[in-house]
Amino acid sequence: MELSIKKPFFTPKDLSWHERAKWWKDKGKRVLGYLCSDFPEEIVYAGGILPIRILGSNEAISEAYKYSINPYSCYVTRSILDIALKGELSDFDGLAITTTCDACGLDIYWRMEDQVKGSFPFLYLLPRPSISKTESSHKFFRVELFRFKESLEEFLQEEIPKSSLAHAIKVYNQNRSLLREIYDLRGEGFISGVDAASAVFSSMGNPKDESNLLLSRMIEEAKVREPKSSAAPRIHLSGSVLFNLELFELIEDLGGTVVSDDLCVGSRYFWDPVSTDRDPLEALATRYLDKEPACPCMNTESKVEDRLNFILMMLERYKADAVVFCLHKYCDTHQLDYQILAEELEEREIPFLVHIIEQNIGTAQLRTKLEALFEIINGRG
Amino acid sequence: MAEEKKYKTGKAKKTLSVDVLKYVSKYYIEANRAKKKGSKPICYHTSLDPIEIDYAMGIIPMLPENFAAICGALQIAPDLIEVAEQRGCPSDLCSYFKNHFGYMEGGKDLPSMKDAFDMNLIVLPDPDIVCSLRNICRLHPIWMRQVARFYNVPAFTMDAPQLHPKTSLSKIDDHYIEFGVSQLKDYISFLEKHTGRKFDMERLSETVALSDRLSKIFEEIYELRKVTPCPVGGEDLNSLVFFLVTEAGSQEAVDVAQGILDEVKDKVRRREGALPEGTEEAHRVSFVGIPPWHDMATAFTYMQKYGATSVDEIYVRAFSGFAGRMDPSHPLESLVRKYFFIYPTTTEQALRLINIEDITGYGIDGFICWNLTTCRLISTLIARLKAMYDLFNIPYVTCDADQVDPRQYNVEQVRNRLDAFFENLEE
Amino acid sequence: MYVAGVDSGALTTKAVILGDGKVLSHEIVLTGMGGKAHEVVEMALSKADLSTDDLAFVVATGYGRINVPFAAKQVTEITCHGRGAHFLIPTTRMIIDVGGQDSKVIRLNEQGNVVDFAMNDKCAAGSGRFLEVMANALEIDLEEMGKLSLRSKKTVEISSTCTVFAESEVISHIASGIPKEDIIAGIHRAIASRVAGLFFSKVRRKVEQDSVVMTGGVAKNIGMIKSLEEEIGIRIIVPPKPQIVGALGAALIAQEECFM
Repeated sequence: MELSIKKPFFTPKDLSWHERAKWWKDKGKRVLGYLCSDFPEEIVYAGGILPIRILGSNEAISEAYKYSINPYSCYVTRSILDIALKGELSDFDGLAITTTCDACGLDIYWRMEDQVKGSFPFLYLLPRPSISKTESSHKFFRVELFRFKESLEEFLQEEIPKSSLAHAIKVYNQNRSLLREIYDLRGEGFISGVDAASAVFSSMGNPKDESNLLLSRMIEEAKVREPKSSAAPRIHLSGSVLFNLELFELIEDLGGTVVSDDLCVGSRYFWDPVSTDRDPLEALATRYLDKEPACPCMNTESKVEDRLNFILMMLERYKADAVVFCLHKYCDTHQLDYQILAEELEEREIPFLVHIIEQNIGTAQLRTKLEALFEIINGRG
Repeated sequence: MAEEKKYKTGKAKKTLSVDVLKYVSKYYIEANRAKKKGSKPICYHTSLDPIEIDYAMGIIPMLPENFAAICGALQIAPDLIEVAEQRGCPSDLCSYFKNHFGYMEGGKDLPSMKDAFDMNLIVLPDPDIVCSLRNICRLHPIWMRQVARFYNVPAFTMDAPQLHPKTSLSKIDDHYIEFGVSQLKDYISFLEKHTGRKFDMERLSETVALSDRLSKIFEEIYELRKVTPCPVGGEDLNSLVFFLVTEAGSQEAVDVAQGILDEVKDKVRRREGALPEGTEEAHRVSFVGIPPWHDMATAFTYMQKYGATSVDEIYVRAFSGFAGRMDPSHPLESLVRKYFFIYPTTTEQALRLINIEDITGYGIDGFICWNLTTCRLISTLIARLKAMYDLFNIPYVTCDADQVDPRQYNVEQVRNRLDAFFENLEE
Repeated sequence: MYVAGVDSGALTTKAVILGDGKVLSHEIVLTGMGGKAHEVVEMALSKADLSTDDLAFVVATGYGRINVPFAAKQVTEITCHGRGAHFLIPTTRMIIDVGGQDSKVIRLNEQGNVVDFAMNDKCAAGSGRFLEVMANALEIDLEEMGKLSLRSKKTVEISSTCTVFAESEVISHIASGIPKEDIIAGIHRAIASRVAGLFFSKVRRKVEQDSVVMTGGVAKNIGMIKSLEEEIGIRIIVPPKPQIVGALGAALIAQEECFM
């Protein structure tokens, strides 16, 4: 039996990075880490490599400061560096870094190359344009995806045929549509906020075909369940990366439920499918540049209007009562976008709150804020 | 209740005769005059945008960043930043941004501001259009989008993608250049559409030639600073950045720079150093980071008591366009080469900035790193440099500061660190 | 019918006893000095000649609200301050509460319901803790600060926004012989500017006269109020016992619960 079946919905807490890599490597296969939800995993999967998302964690940093890392960068970046510098990724064959933002991108690449002992046999920095929806940016990114594929082929010493790419896209699209179905079932009370979130988390670390089997089973089981009443405050979570499910759990503990999100560990990861009616690399370039919801880190022409529309669409689709922004300290782009999103939500009289997180979500104060928000929603305020 | 402003900061003593603030005032006065008459459109930019195109089309580039540095030097940035923070701006955000945001959001009408601006004739005229090329940080283009939203004017964004770390500057792949050129063409169309002005490639060749000349002169000045005693220090070079970031492509900048070069040559001939008369040049340091405009005295003058002078500044070099000469017969491609492959996007450029061999050429004894807590880019660069200095056993000191906001800065702490650094150098 | 509200804060625990919609008694005890919630409620009850058996309902609020086992309901201090302030001053639309650990700004609608709020970030600047640190550095009592600051003729600029830096600034001001009252005035302004930031982040439209109320212990500091008024440009109303507004709000909610 596969480890992933035994632990169907593992969250980052459950397994060490070694354990996650090992079971796949034991089959004589390779593992590649990636950092950002805007990374075209399909190409890696098509090469028979297991892509695993390295999210960082809220463990205290123990090693990285010895290497003089930037204390004024977000905890996600610092934590990823710490994990690597501690040698926890030593079983990984490769690491692919998207040029995500000013902190998480080139610097991580440099550090891995210079400072991580026995660095990765395959280390790649994928330049992603920070503007999208233009012909020239698509054209540029197509070339870069082609180069990435070439480098990977060189590393594997075998070609990745077009048919494998097309198959990978099919499997990934299936995963996306299953996750959407899970979100819809959550919206109707068949699945809890925590379970739906763990479905996304597990999809970022398990082989997608196996993931799909698990998600299908989850959906079948959910459908025969009695739905939970939807009276609780229904929350849309907005932000980027969360290390684990703590926030989802806290919201449920307090009587609310997360019904939608635009997180990098949520809908930003899977919402938009890849088109199947054209050349695979071209389709991937389009999807990864133009996908909704966009991330302000990588879309610096700031599609804040698009982001707002996406949030409003999700609020309507999942009948959410309020938006909770959970943003990382030192994440400039998300914080700048927030200013405008807050203005727009206020104009529409949609309740929201913002919470800045660093190593931990800061439960004590956040609890009070969330409870006060729920009191407002429930008319107690 | 009377109050006392007490930031305990000050201006640095300069060596050169050029009065930069006079040129800055003149620039702002002319921009305001043009705005009033409607004779020339104003385009806001973030720094290291291809403003040679603006000059070629008779558009006035204005840089809120440059404006923020001036506000820092005039000690009025904290008041503007407070306005920004009261409008919900998180305190961790870039101080340059907060300074401008506060200015837009009512700060320019503060009584304390009015005096300072009127006295120095520095008033930022409202933009007609805005543009940002993302080649430095990701906050830049979003900043300009916010400005566009505030003033309800059109915005244009360009992107310089990361060059793959293994790619050498001399072998940049075609698709990078093509992507750059195609964006510059789009920018030109954008300008034509929104200003009604016609673009002329020949005129651009001229401004590119001027810009190249300016870079060349700065390169020469930097070469002359290898001499002992160093003829001109960091306090001067940093303020000259104004010409590089705001006037690349203008005749005036070339004329001023030429004058400065002549003066520097003269000083070299007379073996006259940047240090005050009677002070022997004992230490040569390299200055890393954006200078604290609110306290240039601590950043540069303070070290003079140890006979130290800054002979090299990464900050100025990053703006100088040293990456090879521009070719006026291929102006668009030249601009792509100048602006798209700079240190934040190009590993080789970053290595050039911190090239130890190059540094040895300047005879540098150690590095003074001014770390900026609100700048992701500088704080990341400095963290990486520190790792490298440790590796090569090169002396350095880090001062935590902010480029314009003295509220995030403790002058005693910083001077204390500088003292310790120089005492150790002397040992 | 009698009800109680108890506000278990970081610094002090407060209790209010209501009987038929009127405040019968209240009590304030330092949390660290035996200020256990049930004891404080009992002390307040005894002032009103009542005992715990007389209470129909108890609501707890404040940071320690989950550790008040005898309370039938827990409500956040945000809602409670809103309810309490609106009860005392019906024109209240904005509440500023500078507490020991954090400061809050709460926006109410005409019915006195909370519509929006903001809390400061984890940093101590802009909270009561900042005042405490500075009082300690100046070697004066926290309570003295307000009155002393009114004597100031020349507010000193405390330029650092960081508590640690600011403390060393204060120490160097003391060393250079600057009068304490001027330093305190500067400290008040530094906090006021932080709190004003929070305030304006929740104010989009014009603020009406008599609509801004300050609650919490720091509201007793007259110098602080003055600085805040200067920063936000409008008069601030302080209820007679600003510390007990949260507990009062809790008691009012307890009363509503009984009629539900």
